[in-house]
Amino acid sequence: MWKSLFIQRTLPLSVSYLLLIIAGITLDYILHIGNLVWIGRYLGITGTVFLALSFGYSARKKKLITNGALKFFLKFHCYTGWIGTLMILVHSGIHFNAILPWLATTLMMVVTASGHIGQYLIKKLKEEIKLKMKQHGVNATVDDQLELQHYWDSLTVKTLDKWRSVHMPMVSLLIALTTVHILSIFFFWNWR
Amino acid sequence: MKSLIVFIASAVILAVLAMAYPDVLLSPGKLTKGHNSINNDCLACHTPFRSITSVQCISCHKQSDIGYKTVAGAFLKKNSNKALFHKGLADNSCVECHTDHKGTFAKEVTKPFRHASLSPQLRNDCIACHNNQKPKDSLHQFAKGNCLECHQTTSWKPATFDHKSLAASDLKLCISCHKTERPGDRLHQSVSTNCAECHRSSKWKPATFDHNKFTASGGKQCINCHKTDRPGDRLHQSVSTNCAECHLSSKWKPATFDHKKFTALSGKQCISCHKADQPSDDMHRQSQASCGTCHSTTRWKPATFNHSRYFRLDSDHRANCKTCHTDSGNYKKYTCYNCHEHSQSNIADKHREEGIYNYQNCMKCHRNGKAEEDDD
Repeated sequence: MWKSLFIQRTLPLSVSYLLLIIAGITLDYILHIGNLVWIGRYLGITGTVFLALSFGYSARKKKLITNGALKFFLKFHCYTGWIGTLMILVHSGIHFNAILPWLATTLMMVVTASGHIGQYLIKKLKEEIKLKMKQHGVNATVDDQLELQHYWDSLTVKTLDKWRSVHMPMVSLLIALTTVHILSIFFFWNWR
Repeated sequence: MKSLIVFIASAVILAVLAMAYPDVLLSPGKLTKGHNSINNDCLACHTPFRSITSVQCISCHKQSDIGYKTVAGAFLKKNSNKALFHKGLADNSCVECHTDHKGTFAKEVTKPFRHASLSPQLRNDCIACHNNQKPKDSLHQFAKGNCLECHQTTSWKPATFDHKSLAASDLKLCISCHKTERPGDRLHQSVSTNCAECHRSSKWKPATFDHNKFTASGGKQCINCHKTDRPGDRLHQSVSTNCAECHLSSKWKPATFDHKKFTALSGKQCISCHKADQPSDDMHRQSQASCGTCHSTTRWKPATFNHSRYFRLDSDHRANCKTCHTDSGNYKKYTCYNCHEHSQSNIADKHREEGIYNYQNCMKCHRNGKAEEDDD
């Protein structure tokens, strides 16, 4: 039972996503009762920085960054993405009513949910590859050679490709919404 | 590449939409009712990358007209205090107090006024703006312009007032400011208008009162001030209105009471004051004698009465007091003839047989119920 897919994969990722929402609401509540809402405004900047850092994983995959284990970059992508999302979520709680940033927040939560699904698929793929490599007597590190091992034609690889084809356009749209939001803030607001 | 195309395409579309419908996509909230006409014209107030500067505000809201005229040029009602608040402010200080996008009501877009944004000259000339708000009472008539001597810039109350700031000549004129605070009782109507004789400047209570100031009148007018302090019991209603006969001027208790003042009435009215002190036993209940017969005026115990000293009440003589003491007003009088044993003829016969003729004072020979015993 403890080795079931639900206990080992689905439950931790669901808890991670729910925890993100609960932590966001709790922090926002604390800032409001502590009359510290202004902090929420600046969490937008730090949150954006964290989300930008999470793109290190893509940079490593596209070999824009040549050094470092892919496993590390994936973990870094997950953690910075989670923390950045939490900060932006709290930032959204300062109750500005403009539609564009709220669209960005909504899409960010969808992308984060999608990220959790992707995390699930990658872990599943790794296990499948490990199993197949073992069956064929191949000794190699799964994380470092993940891309090379796509020839292991499996249902999970196909599903992961399909997931990417949805996840990446959503990320692009999120970056576009964020960019327009940030530019509009620079355009209309004065950082005094 | 695909992602880059999606990004560029969506960014361009969003930017175009944001420029076309800024009030829908970018506006963080509704504008005030007065700004309805510029709802879609962000640049009417915003300078790109510099946010709001007062220059745009002043282009419509002329500083000299605030409180007098509307933006359209129509005159406002007189006595508006708006003009006072805007008078003398720096040209670029609109955004210090005003904001927008917080709703349609003007009150919601006013931030707290910061006195720190005023010029030092105006900051020390409070009355230049607050003249309309200065109370007309006598206290504020003494104020010479700088409200900060007593008030804070955040709120009028609580305020502190330092009496030391008054001129020496004004220090004795307490009542000129505190007239309404003076109690209407006789005490305060009798004393001088210099409150400082009894009160401190920090608070009214506790106050000290020196009775020596009334020595001229011999202290006999206590009741003039202390009428409400006088208890309603018979004791206090019987005594004079000169409280000092029993009480000290510092506090009511402990008090001393001199019974000698009642000697004229022979102490017979003890019970009129001490009714509540009378024990409920038979002896005290039946006795009609004055308390002074047995008790001293200083304390109830020890009492001096001992019946056995006169006649021992043995088992044959446990009778009601009235049986022997027929005059309840004078217990020195008694008679032994009121029972069947001691009839007057029987007693007379017995004594004459013995040759005793002076037998009227029974107790002279009989100190108890025994016939033969004359003393015990």
